[in-house]
Amino acid sequence: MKKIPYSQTRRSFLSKSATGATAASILPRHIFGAPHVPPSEKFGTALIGCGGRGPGTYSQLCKGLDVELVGACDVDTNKAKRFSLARSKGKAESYQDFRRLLERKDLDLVAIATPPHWHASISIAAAEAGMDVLCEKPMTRFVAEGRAVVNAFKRYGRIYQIGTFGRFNRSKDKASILKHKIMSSGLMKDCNAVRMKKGGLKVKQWSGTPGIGPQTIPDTLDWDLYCGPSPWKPYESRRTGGTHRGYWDYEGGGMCDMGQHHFDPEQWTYAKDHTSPVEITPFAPPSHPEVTGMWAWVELKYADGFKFVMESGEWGPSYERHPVRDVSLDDLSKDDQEKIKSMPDPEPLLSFGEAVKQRKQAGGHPEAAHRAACILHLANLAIRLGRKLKYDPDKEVFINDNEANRFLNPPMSAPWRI
Amino acid sequence: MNTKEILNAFPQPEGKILRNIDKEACEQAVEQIISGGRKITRAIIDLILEPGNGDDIRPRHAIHATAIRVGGTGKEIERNSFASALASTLTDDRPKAVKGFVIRQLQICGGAKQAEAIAHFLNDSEEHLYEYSAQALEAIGVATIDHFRTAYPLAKGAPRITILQGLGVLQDKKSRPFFLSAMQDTDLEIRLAGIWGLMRISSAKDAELMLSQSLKEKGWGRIKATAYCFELAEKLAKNGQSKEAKAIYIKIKKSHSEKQDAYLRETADRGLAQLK
Repeated sequence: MKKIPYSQTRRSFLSKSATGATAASILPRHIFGAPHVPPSEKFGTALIGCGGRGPGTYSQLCKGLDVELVGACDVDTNKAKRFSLARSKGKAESYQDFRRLLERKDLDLVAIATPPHWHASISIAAAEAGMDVLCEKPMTRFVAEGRAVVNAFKRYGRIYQIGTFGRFNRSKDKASILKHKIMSSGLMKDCNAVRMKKGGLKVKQWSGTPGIGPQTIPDTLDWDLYCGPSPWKPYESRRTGGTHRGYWDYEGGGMCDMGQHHFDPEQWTYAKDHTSPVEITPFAPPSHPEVTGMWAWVELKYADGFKFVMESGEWGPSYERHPVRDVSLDDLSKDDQEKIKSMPDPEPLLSFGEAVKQRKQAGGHPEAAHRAACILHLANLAIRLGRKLKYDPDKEVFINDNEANRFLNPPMSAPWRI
Repeated sequence: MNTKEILNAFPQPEGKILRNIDKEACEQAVEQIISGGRKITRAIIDLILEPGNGDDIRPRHAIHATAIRVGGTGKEIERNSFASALASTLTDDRPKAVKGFVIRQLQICGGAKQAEAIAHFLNDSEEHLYEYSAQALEAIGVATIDHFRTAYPLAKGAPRITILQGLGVLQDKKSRPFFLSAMQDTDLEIRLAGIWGLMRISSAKDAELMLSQSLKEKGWGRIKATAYCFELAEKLAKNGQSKEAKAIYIKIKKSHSEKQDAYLRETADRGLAQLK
């Protein structure tokens, strides 16, 4: 494969025409009409986090684009080498430290599939290095990270897509479009709809195992770099390789593993991409300090009264606080129903590839991804704290609960910071 | 309820996970720990072991559950009482890994009154106690600043950047000399922490120095240092210091003339366009 001189690579073109839709208000409209990329133009790509979901996430990054893999990075050198071998016959350079990878001048697009405690820091660094990002879900480990990612991608005018794609089908589905219109119209007052997700959140599958003693760190693994921004803990193999999901330090159980898949499309359907719940009520037993565990249900109520409910179906009682019911045109007056019918359909959502080529916001853009991740984080925090929480979705803090607020932006381990 | 009965309310793993947990029994046990005061808390801490030295799943669970459940409005007395009991164990002759666990619980429920006991470990490199200590103090907040200020000049090795970063987290304006000095350090991450700290305290008068330092850095250092300059410009603009913010954006535009820096010039342009 012919190596592309940097001067002709995507980044120099992108920087001339660049900006995401987040900057639409400050740049002339015609900038979005910049010509599409010629089909012959190649993007330099890399994968950070080459185990587990890594290869699949990288394939999503490449969809519809002409790419050349230039780097593979993993804190376990074996995984990086294996991916380079599989996808570039070893031509792509292998890295253990993502900082060295991001220094490359021929890199345009980065897929991130590390455990989630690294997602935000690496996404932000990639934007700061001028790259577009497709990041595996969940977007973040805690709420403040999400706002930092949103700010970084807005600042640098880079494209971001979260690694879940259910909202793309929803945005083409007539029934979902109707609900989206009803909820985004502002005509629904005192909404009493309750959307329930029962099961599918892998509570037991991704519960952690407590009490495992320290083990010998494999030679190929940089354990300190693995821990990264999360608190350092002695090495245990179950803290890595998929079972990391069962530890608060890295993910947050099946809620965070599956929740963004389930609630990101719902969030689009019910027009909540710009906001978060205001009241979160859990039913859960006291949680363990290290590992995720059981919970029964969580109710998340928005300012307009709309509620998402997640019921584990794996422990404890069923949710019975409110009847489950969907949004309907019948909830509105005849006049308002006519207004809904005359509303234009929402803009089509752009895939990551389309967004990169057109320099427009992708369907799973940072703000939407952050708000969807917040659903999971707020639910998990209510589970962990075992009490009802009131949340200010604009300031992104809990109201009158300083101890709960400590979990929204927990200190990171140096030198990592947001 | 004695200690054993309290702890038996918490589950042991079945099939590796804590699947059979009794919410009501655990919550009753937490109430017993709270009402039992310092004696019962210390008795449970006595059962916590160094990782790998035996089964202490229940005591850890019980202490954490209590640290969580004393949080929130209206629980100030219980919270302070429990946090004081936890902090009292930090002066005992206990394994450092156990003290690390206790400090992490104080990150959840500790307050200014426990800060001194926690800060004792800011320069202790064993078992990452410096890190746990700094993070607990950062969570408690600005009331702990003096402890970071006192500890930083004495810091060597790994604790140094952690303490410096803590001063940045707490946005301590009086630490400006520390941040300025750190910018000249031989260690890249210390230099970056210095620039970041100046950004955190919105030090407009140091913008020129920060920009100059960012241009001296290469690779990762340059990427991050430039990012902190952009963040400083945004903070200044938000504070109404548009003139100072504008100067940063213009300097970045002028000083990043290479082709690969075009995205930085675009970023500066966006910043300039947003200034009022």
